[in-house]
Amino acid sequence: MDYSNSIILSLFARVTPEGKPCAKNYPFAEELVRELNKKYHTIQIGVKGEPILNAAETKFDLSLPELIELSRAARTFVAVDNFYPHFMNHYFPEKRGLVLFSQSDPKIFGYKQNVNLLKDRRFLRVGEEQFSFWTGTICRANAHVSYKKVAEELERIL
Amino acid sequence: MTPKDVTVEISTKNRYDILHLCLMSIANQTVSPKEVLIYDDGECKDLREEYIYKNVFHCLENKGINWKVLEGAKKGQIWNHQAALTDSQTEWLYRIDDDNILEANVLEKLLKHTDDPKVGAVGGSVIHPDCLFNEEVTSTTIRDVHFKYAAQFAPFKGTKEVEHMYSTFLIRKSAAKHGYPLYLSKIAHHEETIFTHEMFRAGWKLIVDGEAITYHFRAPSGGIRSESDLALWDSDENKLKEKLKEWGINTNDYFFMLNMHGLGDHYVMKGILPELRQKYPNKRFLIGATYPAVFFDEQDVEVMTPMSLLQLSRKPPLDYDVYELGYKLAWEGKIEDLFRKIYGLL
Repeated sequence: MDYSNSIILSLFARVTPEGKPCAKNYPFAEELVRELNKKYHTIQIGVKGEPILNAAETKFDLSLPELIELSRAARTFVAVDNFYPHFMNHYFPEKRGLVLFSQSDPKIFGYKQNVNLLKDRRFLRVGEEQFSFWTGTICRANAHVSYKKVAEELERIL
Repeated sequence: MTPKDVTVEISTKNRYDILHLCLMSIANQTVSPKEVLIYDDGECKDLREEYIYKNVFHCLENKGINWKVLEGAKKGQIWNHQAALTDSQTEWLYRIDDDNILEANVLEKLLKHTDDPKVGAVGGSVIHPDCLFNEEVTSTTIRDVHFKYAAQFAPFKGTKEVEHMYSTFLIRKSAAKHGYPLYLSKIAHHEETIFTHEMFRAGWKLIVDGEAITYHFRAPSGGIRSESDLALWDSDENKLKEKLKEWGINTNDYFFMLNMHGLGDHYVMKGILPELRQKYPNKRFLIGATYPAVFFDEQDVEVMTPMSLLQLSRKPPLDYDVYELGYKLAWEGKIEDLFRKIYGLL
């Protein structure tokens, strides 16, 4: 399959040690996927147990070599501040993606080759709390950019 | 004497509180040794007056095992091990530490490997019940002697050929003609390494049977623990280094890294490996990782569990923790620079 026009989506971070959803998860993931599906071939990556978002394709539990090949073939990606932007920075630093921040700081955890979307710095965890565990941090939907804004920024990248 | 008769030799110093456990484990072997030689480097008490020992000696006798308590040279255990090479009447000599307790079938398992005429020494796994080691922290090669534990430190299935031995093992006397390194201090740190590696260099096979289990209780007093002069350890360490140089052996030099955080953090750490390789061109990288698969495509990196890495590095986990450091510094820079700080690149 030709993935050269595909958008990889990684919109959930690892669950907390208590098994709760991480506050970094994108709260408008379903709406975003619906919006992106209108124009792009979307591929949701992740692990079994994550919510399935009705992307054009769902690829869970890929091996690392498989993920490398898929990422090489795809056009770009949209991810939250999870492992994927770090993975892409390591293997494909030339690829520009869209990273959705909310309470973690793109100045610390972001990469300059990506578009790091942050709604407002006032939503960031304060100071040294950037390095605390995510246990107990509540997902604040109003701290995330809207799905329409994400779609607009993606269009700008492409 | 039949070919497979074995003499046990034990050098002991003021460990009367545990020596009897060792002796009973010898008495309980499924295959009995012919004789037990006990070299007493301590008070030289007449143990026949102690009711526990009186019974222990009777147990040995009832199993047809001769025993002798000899006054040790009082110059350190190594002189007693050397004396045992001539005092014993059998070709096979089994050296056992006074704080070793053998499972019942150890000697039987070790003897199974002695049919091969090329075998110079056979040992089993030596387990510390209060500190279990994983096989991944051990090594069969002497090149790892400064950073990894000998193969006997962890149990495993089957057997391994090794380049040096530790603690307790069965010796073929004709493979030991070079004798012990008597130039070491009275604590004789690394004496087994030097003694057995000389056997290896002479062409003898050294075998470890991972399923022959001895427990090493590491008595906190008596024996070499009576010596508090750290200079003795340093002196022996230097003698080992001289010996390695004489043998033309370059030991492996390891750089330790640890990551107990998320998958993304592993990729950030992986990203600084090229810079570390440049800074430390002669080092091998040992990484303790919760996501070991991240390093699948790094050729010169050895990956293990975080616990194993901490056993080898002997540093606390917080020394490697970027999040702990970031929190302490209220860090506002890039996460990859925090990794650089932890590992000496910044």
